[in-house]
Amino acid sequence: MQRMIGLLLLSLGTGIAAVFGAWLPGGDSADHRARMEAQAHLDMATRVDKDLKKTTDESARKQLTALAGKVGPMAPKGADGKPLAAPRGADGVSMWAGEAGLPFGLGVLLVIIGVVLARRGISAEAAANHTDSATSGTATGPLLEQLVTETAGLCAQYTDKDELPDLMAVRTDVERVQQQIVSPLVEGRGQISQEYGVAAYAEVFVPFSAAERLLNRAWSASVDEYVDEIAPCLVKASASAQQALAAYQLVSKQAS
Amino acid sequence: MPIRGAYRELTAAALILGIIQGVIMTAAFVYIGLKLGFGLSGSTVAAIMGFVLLRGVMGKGTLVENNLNQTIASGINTASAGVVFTLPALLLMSVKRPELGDFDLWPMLLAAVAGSFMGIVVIIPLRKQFIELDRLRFPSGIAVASILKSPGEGAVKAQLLVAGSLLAAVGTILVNLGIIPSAIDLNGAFGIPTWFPLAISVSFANLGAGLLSGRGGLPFFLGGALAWWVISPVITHVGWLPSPVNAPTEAAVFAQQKLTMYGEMIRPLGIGMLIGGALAGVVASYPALKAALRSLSVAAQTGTAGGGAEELSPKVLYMGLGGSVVALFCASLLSDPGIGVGTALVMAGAGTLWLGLAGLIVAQATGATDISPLSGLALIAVTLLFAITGGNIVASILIGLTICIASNQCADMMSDLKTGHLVGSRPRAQQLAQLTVAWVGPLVAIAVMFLLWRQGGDLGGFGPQSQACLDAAPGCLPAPQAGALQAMVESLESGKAPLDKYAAGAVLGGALSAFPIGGLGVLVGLAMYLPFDITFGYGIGCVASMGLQKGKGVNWIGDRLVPIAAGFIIGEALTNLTWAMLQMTGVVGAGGGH
Repeated sequence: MQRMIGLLLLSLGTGIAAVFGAWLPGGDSADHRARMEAQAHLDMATRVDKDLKKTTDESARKQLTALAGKVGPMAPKGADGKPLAAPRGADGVSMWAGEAGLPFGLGVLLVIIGVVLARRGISAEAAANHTDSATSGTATGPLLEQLVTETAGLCAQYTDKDELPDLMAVRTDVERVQQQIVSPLVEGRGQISQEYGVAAYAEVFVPFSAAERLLNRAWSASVDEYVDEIAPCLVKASASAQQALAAYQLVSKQAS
Repeated sequence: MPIRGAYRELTAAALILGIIQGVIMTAAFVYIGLKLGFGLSGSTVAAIMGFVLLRGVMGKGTLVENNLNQTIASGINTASAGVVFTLPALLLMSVKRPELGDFDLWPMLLAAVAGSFMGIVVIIPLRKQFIELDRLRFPSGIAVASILKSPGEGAVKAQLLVAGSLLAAVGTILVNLGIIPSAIDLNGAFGIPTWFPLAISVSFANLGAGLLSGRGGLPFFLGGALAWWVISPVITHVGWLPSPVNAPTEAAVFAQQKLTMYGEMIRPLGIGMLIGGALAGVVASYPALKAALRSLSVAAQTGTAGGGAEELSPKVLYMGLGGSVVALFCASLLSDPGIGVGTALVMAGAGTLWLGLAGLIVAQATGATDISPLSGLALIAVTLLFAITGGNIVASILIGLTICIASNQCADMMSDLKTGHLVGSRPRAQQLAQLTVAWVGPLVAIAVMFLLWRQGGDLGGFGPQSQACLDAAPGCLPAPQAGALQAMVESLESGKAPLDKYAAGAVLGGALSAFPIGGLGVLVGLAMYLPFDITFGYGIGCVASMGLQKGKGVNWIGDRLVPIAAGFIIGEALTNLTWAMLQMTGVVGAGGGH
């Protein structure tokens, strides 16, 4: 509920702030209209000129030539003879702040309140979901434990120096770990930052990502048939997975 | 047959092939950028060429070695867009104001090379934040990884990748030939008023990026909806838009109003949001950033499976940054006789600080959407420096050039590191490779650009005033992006910068970034900065991906949707590249739907 209210305020505030943020100083004034009229004439003159270059039909060329003589010189100019310009630069900022600053500020305030409420709501929901996921086995902790077990198993299986590993088996096993453990961990990564904060998330996910990359490397080496590369990759991946699990256990212990 | 020995990664073959491809692509993409006004990423082409040459012809290339080849090639090529968007503006202005054409080339080269190094060293420490913690998608990075991994992914995934590429190629050709429109206009079809735009860009790459981003890209779509389904109807109905009194038709009135709304209201507000959102994002993610940076120092000292450290040492990064700042200071000082030591120091300092922020924005925007607000950030840099130097155009464009090249390096390095993460490359090897060749791209791009300029005589070799363009000859290079920067500089000279919009956007973007969705302010700002038909097409991809994930599950997304979506990006990129080459050689006309 808190999250929904937060998102609602966030959306409303963003809409208000964006609309008033886009307000053009002098955009609805007679001066700006005259400037736009001038620009329209000049643009039209450019288009006519381009069409004139492309057209070969004689009657169309006559019409365009007549039009070219009219549209350019008709462009309104200021007292100094130059094209009219809307207030921009520092003048534009003060004019914008005076006219649209208040509703814009109100919009930004709503955004900030919305962000605070939404963050609180998300944290509360994450804490409530923690118990459910912990028992269902889809939580980070059990998945990291599985990753440690599986990578250790791959090490034991494929690091025998006397026997060359079966390359197809390595590829299949690594793909299984990637699909069944690594992907769900990546999908559910928001859980850690919501429960324990972004610093804790980084402590866990930096070593986890190293394990993931090393598994990818083991997979590539198996495709390339470089047998000597596979075992060191798996050993390192296993060590990184253990590091990620240890970091997770530490942050969850500190939090409880 | 199993292979014994060290895993091939950063090899001489990868380095040489990467450099050759990078140099060729840089030269070609400078020409394409001047002709068509957009930059191209060379990662896809380099990955496919590496696949053919390293793996096919040499028969010993590995997945990570090809990743290194593609990192080097695209790292060199990033300079082409940075140069094309900025430096030609100075040359275009010099036609009417010859004093601007007398600038010294060496400071420009020095600044460009400094920017190339600076972009890499600034963004490397954020790899862990963006790729490992924020888990940004980098759709093009995923697409390139799909190419690299295809030998081991099985027949079905490879078939889906090829099918997606072919579908995108056919669609792109039909759009380029004008057989199907470049945007589907639902307003016209259903009689919906134009102040509530419902046009969808026909871009498979856009759709593919949305499909790969899924839920994470939704804020980008919502930002577009805010701009065009909230702001546009409200300001149209409350009468804040000036009516061009003498516009000949109602359509012309709408067209004028839309131009004002986008160019003077929504787009500048979006640029402000990008800046405020990025700044607040740094504050919000500071605890995680601190932990990631700490782990960087540890990783720089830790040995890995591949041998050697995981990451480049922070010492190397500090030295690289220090050297780049000194080079930028020297370039600033030498850029114009009117620039003193104090001003040059401020220029180098402000340029470096702005680059830090611009790099964050570009990497975050590219990571979430595959779209980079490169030209907008260069425009801000020029505005900033214009104020600092008291209106010195040469010095302002010099820093604009530095920022543009550096920001593009940030986006490219991060995208390549994402690919590297997916195939298991050592980040240190990729970072080292890109740093080693960082100087090549700027030199090639600037040399090619000057060659093209010199061949045009007094009127210059490109720009609307060049002889080829005046004659409407096939060799006309209109340099549209440089034209935009030229217009911006001229508006700065007349004091018309929309500072109010930048300020309002920065406040709103900052407030939004406090919400616990990474980069919310930046994504909403980016959506306001871009035309809505692009945002809409991308949003459809995001929503479709979310629906498919709910119905089919996460594994189905990885096994089926990712290769198809990656194919969309690859197919469109390769087709547009080929199309641009055909346009250059005059095989196809300049018309079509692009």
